[in-house]
Amino acid sequence: MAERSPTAAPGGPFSSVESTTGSEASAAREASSISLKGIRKEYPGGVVALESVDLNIRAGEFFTLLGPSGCGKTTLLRMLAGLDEPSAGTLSIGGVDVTDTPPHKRSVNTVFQSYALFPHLSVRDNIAFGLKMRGMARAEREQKVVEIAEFIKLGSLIDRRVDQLSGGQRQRIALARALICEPDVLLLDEPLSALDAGLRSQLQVELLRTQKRLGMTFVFVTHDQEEAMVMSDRIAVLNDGIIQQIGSPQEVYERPANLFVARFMGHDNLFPISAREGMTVKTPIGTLETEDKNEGRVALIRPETLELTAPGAPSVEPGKQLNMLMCRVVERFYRGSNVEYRLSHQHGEQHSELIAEISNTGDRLFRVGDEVKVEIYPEDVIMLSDDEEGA
Amino acid sequence: MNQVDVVWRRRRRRETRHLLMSVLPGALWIFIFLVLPSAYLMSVAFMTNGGFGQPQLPLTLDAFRNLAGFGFLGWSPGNLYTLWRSVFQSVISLGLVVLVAYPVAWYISMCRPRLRAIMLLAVVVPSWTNQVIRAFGWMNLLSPGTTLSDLAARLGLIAPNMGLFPSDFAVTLGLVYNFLPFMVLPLYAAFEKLDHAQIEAARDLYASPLRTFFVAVLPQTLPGLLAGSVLVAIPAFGMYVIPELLGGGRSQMLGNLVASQFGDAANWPLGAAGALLMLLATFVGLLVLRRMGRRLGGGSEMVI
Repeated sequence: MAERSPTAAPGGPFSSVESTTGSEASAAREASSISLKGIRKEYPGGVVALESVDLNIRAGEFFTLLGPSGCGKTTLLRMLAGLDEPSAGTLSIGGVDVTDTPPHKRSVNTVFQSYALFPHLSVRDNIAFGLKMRGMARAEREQKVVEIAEFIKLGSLIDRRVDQLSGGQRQRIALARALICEPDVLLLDEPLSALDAGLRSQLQVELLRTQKRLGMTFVFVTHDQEEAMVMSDRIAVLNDGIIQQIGSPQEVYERPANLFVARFMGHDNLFPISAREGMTVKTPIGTLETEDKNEGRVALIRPETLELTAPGAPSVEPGKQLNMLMCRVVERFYRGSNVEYRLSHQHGEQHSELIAEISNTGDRLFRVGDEVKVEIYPEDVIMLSDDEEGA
Repeated sequence: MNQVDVVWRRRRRRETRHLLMSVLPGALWIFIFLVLPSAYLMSVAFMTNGGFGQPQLPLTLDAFRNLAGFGFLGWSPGNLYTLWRSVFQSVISLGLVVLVAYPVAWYISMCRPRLRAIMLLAVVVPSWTNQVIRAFGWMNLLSPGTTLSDLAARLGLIAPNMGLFPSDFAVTLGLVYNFLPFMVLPLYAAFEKLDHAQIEAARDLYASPLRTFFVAVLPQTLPGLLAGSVLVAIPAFGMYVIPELLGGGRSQMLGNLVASQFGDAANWPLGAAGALLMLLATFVGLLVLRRMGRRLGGGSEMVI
């Protein structure tokens, strides 16, 4: 049943013949947790890249640093690698303080955004580089390179020159070059941003499977919230050098901690609250019932929670008190699995726009110009603070 | 079918003629003013020296034997010393130029953009002055009785009252000073587009600072280094002005030998043989550098 030859070498983490998906292969070494305390980075000239960051990353976790460019996520990653030094604070990996350890003495490896392969070396020598620097014997090195080349399915390219490879292949070589060192932590700096959409989603899946299979701690940096949600166990959203929220993709998307996170996660239905009375809030689209007890200055309604029916139709849940408003369809975007409607709503003098995402169940679609009845469950009206520091 | 063929042939003939007409003036120019004189010079190298210094038939290898030191007084090593000095001086000064220019170029590339322009200017501007004038400047600094010479004498590097000029040392110094910009500029160009991610990748993959240099910095600057080497070593090999002015009679190089044979010594065949040798040495040098570039993995973007 197994295709292994009797002389097969004792297995490293990459040596197993294609294991079934989801099975957790034994990690090469104990995965490591990361702990940052009061990390601050200030550049000469007074530019503050990071403002007192506290962060705990669990062992074996796929952790993502998400934020717009210039938010400090790359600086944070470079500090983990040792390529940047914090101005203040301590950083420990696997319980050991590495704040002052230079990069070549940390068991941390990085997949760079530009891949940063060595163009004058072959694929083989690129992959083997870290092992060579650590002084591993040639024979052992060669064997490991072959194993990992099989693992990333690039065995046939091993003697090519780097400039003969496509972007996706280079990306995989960069991954192999870092993985082969079996680091405590693997850092990935927007590794997929240079690839086209199809290849990108394919490599997202591969990367995720690799991480689950090795059980290694991955710290991933991206500015793409969808990519972050697909890949991560947990996400830290950063802005202006401050962590805005840490949580699972579901938490961050469904319960954004503040207006910035909500906007960054792609939410558009945001309505300022002018007054609150008990569980009702006054907004530009009228008075809304909510079940959110938190104080907030902005109401968030996720587009997929809107219920659309024809004007005369009965309520979607007759026994319950739902928020109801009449809207007109302004635009319709058909996406196959779902349909996005842009709706306009007139409340007295106030004109507002709403976005609804309805999963396509094969029912009749509304047309542009149609009047529709929009119903919103009170539990889907979420209160947000509009200050951007409440983590 | 046949008709199409005829049309094609006519068109091709027209294109050929067009091409010829546009290339011809330049080709003629090069032929008349470069190829013919060079051919004449080469042929002179195989002629015999006449009684009044005019080259004449029959064709012999006398000039080359002369160059190797066989004169009518028997063999003397003077010319071979000159040759050796040319090789030695150009190699030594190339090495020193690299040692000075590499860190300078690296440093400039890391400065703020405005400062970079000023520093590059500081490197280049001296070379706008006439070579002869600069050589005279060095004479003033190095001749006997100057501060530098006294210092060297006190340190026991030279005999008292000898001065640092004229000497082989003065020639080397002059060459290094003269050719420095030709190395700094191509190296700076290479450093300016240095991919720093490669350096970080090497550090990240456990390379010590020294290994990082050899893996991530040197290969990236190799094209600039080789281009600079060509720009320095080849003109240095045939240099005339600097050994003439700073070397005195005992520090002659091949260029001076050739010049004197065409001038005072009036032995054109010997001068032509020296020039031919210079040409050959240049080609060999280029070939070696090219090989080195390939071996060290410069790839297709190599400058030479």
